[in-house]
Amino acid sequence: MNPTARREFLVASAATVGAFALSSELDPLAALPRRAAPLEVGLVGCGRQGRAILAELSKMKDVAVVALADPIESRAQAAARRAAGARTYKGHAELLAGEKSLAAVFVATPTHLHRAPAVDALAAGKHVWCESPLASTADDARAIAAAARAASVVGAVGMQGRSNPIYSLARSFHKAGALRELASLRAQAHKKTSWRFQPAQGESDAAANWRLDPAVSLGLEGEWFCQQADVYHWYLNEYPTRVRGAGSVRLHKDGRTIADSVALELEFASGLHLAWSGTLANSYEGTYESLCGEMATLRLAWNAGWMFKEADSPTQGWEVYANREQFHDEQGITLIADATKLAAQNKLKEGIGLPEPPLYYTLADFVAAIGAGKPPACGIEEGLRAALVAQACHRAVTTGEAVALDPEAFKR
Amino acid sequence: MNAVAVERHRAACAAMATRFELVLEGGPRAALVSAAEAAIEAIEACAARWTRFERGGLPARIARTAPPQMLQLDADDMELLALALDAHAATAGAFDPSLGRGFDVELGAYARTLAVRRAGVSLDFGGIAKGHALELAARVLREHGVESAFLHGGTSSALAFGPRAWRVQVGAGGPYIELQRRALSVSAQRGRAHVLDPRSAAAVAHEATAVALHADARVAEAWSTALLVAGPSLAERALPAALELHWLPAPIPA
Repeated sequence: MNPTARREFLVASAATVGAFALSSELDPLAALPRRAAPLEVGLVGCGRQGRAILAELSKMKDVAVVALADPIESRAQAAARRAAGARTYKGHAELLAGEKSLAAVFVATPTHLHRAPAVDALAAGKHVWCESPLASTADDARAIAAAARAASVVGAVGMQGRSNPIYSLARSFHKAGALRELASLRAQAHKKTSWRFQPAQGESDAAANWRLDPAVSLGLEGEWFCQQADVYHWYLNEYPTRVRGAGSVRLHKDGRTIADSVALELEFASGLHLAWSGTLANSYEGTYESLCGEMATLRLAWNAGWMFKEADSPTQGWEVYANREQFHDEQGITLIADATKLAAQNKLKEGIGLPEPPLYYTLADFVAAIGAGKPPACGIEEGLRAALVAQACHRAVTTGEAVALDPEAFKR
Repeated sequence: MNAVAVERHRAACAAMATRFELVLEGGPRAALVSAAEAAIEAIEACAARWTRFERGGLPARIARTAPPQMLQLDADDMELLALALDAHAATAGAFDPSLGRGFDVELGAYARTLAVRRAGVSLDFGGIAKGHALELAARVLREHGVESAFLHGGTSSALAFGPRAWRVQVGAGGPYIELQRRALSVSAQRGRAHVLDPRSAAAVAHEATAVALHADARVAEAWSTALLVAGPSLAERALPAALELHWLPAPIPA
């Protein structure tokens, strides 16, 4: 099918199937008018994350993935099965040369390979969404940010907290003073998994397991913590000034040197400290961020969130109707993103959790930003700041020394 | 001559309110470990997708859908729903994810869409989702080059692929079954009547153990559920090719 015919088919399909059901209250795309033709997008990097992105894009009305790029043929073909009719290319340069009408590019290559596709796509006038962290080196991250400044397009980094409806709700509580004075920040990412992946057909072991390569990988600090660091940047509206870290291989003693268990401590100018634990050796309590304040604690776990109130915290009227969950001897108020509407319908319990995975909302936010001509929830500049923090954390873990962060680096 | 030891790797995860376990054979060990982790990710993703308890699950999304809205599905969703609709029809409603409230959905195979005939369609895929998770996990294992594996979800659904036959006992003290390149599902009721007959909305009165064997774990699971509900007369209906049903009137301890 030629590109024109495919576009016509997609328009016809959209007209035929009628209204797609999404939870419109939370979906950033719901408010957008239907497009006359779908937004044509391409994906660079068809590995695990690329396929997850395709799965979420396939849920969106008015988005058509028409091009895929990956140097590994079997991976590109596997992705093409999820994006029917998409053309496949060996690399991003070929994709950009062959797809002049493409509106946007999603970059899901390994972190150390973000720079070239992101910079080239921005230079070609494409809107760009880049997976987190923005880059594994400060040079690469700054080069992408410079390319974004020079381009009149939407540039976004996939920081999932900023577009997550539960996190937005929780932040509104924080900003309204529900926690009062913050006292303690604590977060973790625990998952028992080897982080070792089998190479695809035609792929080298080193390429498949780049996360374990100390020459290019930011380790858990980059691949996991960067997302969580950004949540604190967003909530606190400040960046760490100093980080300390330690890490070791506790479980996966297979010759790797990248730590499978890491502890970080981040210091903020306000005097707050954030303690983070990351491990590939244990799954207990998974991934969460908490902010403990004088009057309440927020606990955020990506597809759920709770507020635990101190006994002397004043009771708000809405709390009478709130859903509560028991955690050992603590009771948490479930944070429900569209609670007011659901409570009016007596359907509050149906609102627990997110209708879509957090990844959906960051992608949808980017698509909505293109449609509405507005900035995305997390632009390239903010992604740059989070990447610089993650890089500093990785340096602290690998050197064992405290790393100071220059506040000037975060200004712009 | 010493026999060459076959590399074996066991992995497990908690999902769908039960424990899934995978036993992989072949080698090398590092490849088995990464394959098992990828399969566990598939099981966990399947559990999140098909649970009726979470807002992001497909049953909740279907329940929120009203005509003329449609849901966009992926190929895996389509496969499970098509199999569920087939089993519902072939068992004359003895297998029914709507539990008698009306399995009022229509699939658009070409555009991979699901439409509902009314608002508020309430579905529970507990009678087929474990089989689906096993099928998806097995697919991932094969894609990773694993040649032989045995997988089970909560011991009531099991699947084996590869040349080896795995000897499986139904319950404690029940018959042994050689499981080779096919799946087994066991549904049982003993003691208090807890199984609902979706055709009458009444509790199933009999105690029994229903066993189904088929190449596809989802088909086996749907039919063992239906067999327990409908009783041995179900075997008189037109059955899917290569489906084997066993009715054990005496309940076997789990």
